[in-house]
Amino acid sequence: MALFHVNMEKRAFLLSQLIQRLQRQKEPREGQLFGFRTDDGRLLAIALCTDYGNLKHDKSLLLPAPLTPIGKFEVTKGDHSKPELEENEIAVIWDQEDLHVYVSEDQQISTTCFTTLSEEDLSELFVVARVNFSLDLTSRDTVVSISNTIQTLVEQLESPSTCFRLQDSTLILQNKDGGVLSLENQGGKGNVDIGSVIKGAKKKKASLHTVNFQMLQNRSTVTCRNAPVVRIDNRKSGILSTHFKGEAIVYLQKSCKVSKVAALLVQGVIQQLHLAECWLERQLNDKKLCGNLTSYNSLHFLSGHVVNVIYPENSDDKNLEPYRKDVHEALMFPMNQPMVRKGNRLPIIEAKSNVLKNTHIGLKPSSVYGEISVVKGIYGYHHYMQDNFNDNKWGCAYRSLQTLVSWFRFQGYTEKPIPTHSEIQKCLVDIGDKPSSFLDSRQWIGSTEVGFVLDNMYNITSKFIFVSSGADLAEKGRELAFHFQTQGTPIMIGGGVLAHTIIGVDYNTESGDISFLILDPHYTGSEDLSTIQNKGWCGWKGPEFWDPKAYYNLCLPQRPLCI
Amino acid sequence: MMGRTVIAEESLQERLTALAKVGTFQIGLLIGQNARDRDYLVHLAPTPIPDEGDLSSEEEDAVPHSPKTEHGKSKVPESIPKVVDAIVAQHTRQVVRMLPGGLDVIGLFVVTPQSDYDTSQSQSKIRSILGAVHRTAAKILLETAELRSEKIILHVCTQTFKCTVKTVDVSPTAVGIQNSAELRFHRGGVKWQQISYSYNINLNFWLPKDKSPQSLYKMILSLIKPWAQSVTKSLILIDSELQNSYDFLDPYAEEKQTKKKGTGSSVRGGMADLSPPKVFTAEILDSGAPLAVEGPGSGLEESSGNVRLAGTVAGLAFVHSKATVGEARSSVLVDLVRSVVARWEMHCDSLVEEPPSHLVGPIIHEPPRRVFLEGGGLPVSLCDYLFPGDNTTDACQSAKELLGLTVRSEHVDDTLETLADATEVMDSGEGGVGEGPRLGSDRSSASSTCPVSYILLASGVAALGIAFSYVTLQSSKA
Repeated sequence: MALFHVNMEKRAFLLSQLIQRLQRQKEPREGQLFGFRTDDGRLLAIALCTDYGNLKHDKSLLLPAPLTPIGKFEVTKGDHSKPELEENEIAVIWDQEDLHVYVSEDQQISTTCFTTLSEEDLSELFVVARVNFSLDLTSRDTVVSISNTIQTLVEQLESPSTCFRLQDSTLILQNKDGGVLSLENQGGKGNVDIGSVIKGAKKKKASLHTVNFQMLQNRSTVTCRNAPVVRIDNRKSGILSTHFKGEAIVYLQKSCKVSKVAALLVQGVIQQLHLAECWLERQLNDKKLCGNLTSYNSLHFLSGHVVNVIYPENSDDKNLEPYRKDVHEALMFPMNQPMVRKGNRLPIIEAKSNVLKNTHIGLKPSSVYGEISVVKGIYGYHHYMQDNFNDNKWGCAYRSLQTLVSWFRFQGYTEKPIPTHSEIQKCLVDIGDKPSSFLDSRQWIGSTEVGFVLDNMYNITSKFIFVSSGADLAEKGRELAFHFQTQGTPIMIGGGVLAHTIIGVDYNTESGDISFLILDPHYTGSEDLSTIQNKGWCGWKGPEFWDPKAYYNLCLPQRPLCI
Repeated sequence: MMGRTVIAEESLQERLTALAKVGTFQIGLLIGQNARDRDYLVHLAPTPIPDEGDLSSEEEDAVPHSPKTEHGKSKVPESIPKVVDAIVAQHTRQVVRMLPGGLDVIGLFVVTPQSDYDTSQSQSKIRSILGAVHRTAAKILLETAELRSEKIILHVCTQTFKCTVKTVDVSPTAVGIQNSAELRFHRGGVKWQQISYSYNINLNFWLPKDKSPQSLYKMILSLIKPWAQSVTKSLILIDSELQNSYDFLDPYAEEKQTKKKGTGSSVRGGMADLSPPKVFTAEILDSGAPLAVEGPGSGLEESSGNVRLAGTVAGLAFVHSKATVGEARSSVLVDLVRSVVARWEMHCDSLVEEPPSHLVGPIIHEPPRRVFLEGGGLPVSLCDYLFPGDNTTDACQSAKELLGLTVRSEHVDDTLETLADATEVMDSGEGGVGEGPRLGSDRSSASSTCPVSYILLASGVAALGIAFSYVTLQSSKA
């Protein structure tokens, strides 16, 4: 809550991921800071945009609306002298030792301290609107015609006929004065906060609250009364036929008046159209890039903010790598992790996956009070009996493997589906690890097999740790913590007759105490988070959790270095 | 108490008696509204004997080439078996175009002696006419809505002056047994609620490369069809609210009704309540998603042409006083689809011949625009379509001929849709002349070097006030 009661000395707020990204830079660089200026004068820096790169379009199109430039950043080799700033701008300089923050106010540039913005802070201030729309972008096959088509659509979007419906509600926003067409039980008053209209937005959350809007055109906003006419042109022409299944992401301050929201959503959609325009122009020259366009907006844990990207549906990840590289460069993302692949796309809310994600969030901390290192990003909780498949008593390692694969899927490394038990068995038979009688059997697999499947089906290599007694696992704290910090992937562990997934450790280097964050695949119940957490199916376990009489093998998947 | 109840306007009672007293054979259409549990009868439209050439070619073929009077008029039938199905179907086709949403051809009336009506030949004839009427009225909806297939037969006996009402299901799967129904005249007039809306239509299609040549009518219809299908998925707001479809359109309707029952007072007699219908405004919203038109594939393609349909439809629908929001929405959708299809049908019917195919370049077709008619003693408005060059008296004439209604020309409102504007379809980047100088960088030179001329081709057919026009934008060779 500290955020809401700032004194004016605390004006500068930097997103924690942005700080980390700057501090990782060694070479001199500079660029713009994007973020928000709040009504009470705070400057929130959310994103970085470098001044160079090969992107053919405006880099700010990659950032969600309504992020605006609020200043600049510099990476230097020691120099942190006062930069030049416009009024009410912020500058952040990383000189390889410290972050120096300057703000300008009343013609004065002064150095200031800054506050780190966590994801939780962001979720306290914003809700994220996802606006779905679908448009026909077909035009003649010339740059001029593409530009005209986009321009016509932009004009239509800017007109008062553009509306947005909040999913599963009767709230319809219209892009006009007043901004509201239909508002459930509010008598058309646009003067309430959007945060109070959206169900559940007020609750404090660890991650951003998302709401879905559908874009609509109000066909009944009359601008003229001319009766319909038909124009038929029988001249042949070359055309570029493309449909666009778009999604615009808009950060809405919870304090924003409902009447102002439609205009912000329009801004987001227009931004998407300009991004699409860039792809249409590329499609003119490269048949491989042709096909319908889809938004694949991502929110990677290293980014901290949404990144807008559009790709042709039919193009594969390899084809699109040069563009991704440009995007990573423009936003100073690391060059060894996929962050804007198709697979990094924000989960589609409508597609109700029956698998729970990141079930450890909300757990009480362990009693070790050491350094907590957990899986980075998103994983899915796979366990017994899912997908109507009865693997009770034999499928735990298969389910743990599924959780490992889910991480690589959510982090964009692969788009291949989660392997089924029989696909896993087939893979092991195909590589000669198992005889063909293994197919459709109920035989267990161990961590080596898990490693084989990851390697053969997904090109993911693994490290292995072997311990001859469960008691020895207590000695592995440092190693495991290092794994979670550098790799961040879930670990499969097999020993005795049981397999588990380790998704974190709490390791106290002074006392040597350790606690393991365990995701237990032996759960046979329904996808009920409170049961899973309260009954310990996902929870912190001490070293006694492991059987001292059994030996254990751990499979630690390694991230491929790629984007 | 099986059977349906048909609620009729009080004025129709006198009308029916008068028809019976005249004593000559008459067949005609029943115009009204099918509600869930009852039907409302608004008007009787006697079927006129058409002039030759008024029938569409399809219908013409169906008319036997037998007796015709010297004036080129088909002979007036004097009994049910002599009625030509196609003529009633043709009448239906023309009448449906004049009905705002919510109103339909809900059945037939026949004025004839009981002896003519009772024969099995007559009965099967009536069923076949009703079948033709139903198919004709349904066709214009392009499968976007279901018409009630249970039709009403109102028989007026010229000897006993008695009116009997029956219903029969004319759907192909129905057994076709007539059910008796009850005709009730509503003293004081049925209350109607009016829903007005406007709809901005803006469609842009690219024709695939190897499209086999089609008639103009078929081509446009194949494009309008997917639009009409998508329209049914629209959101319809009434007075800017998105209510539940099972709510009453007028939230006080139910209240009033129960109040009446509570006090035990019956509908008051005497003077008709002439208060105008309650007026609601509808707004139609859709996702604007690409239509499922059979077009060119995705990517770089060849197109054999471009079609744009743009402009604003003025719409109107009526529902009975206890209608739900859902009923109101359906009537709006029916009105919209019917109005768009009707004007295109009328335009194509009016073309003497297809535009010459050797003409290369854009042609602008100007279908007739919609006007609304009030009065004629009806509690609801009607509509008609005026070709360029027609005026409001032409609409009065249609009302007279097709509906037997006298409407004064000052009661024809032609301001809701104005004469089509060619720029509507010219200005867009896509509708534009493509690579032509209009979109080039040098606009000033474009106007001087590109002699663009609008040629108006119009020819009027005087008889029924049918005219047609299309404008071609022909770029002359430089």
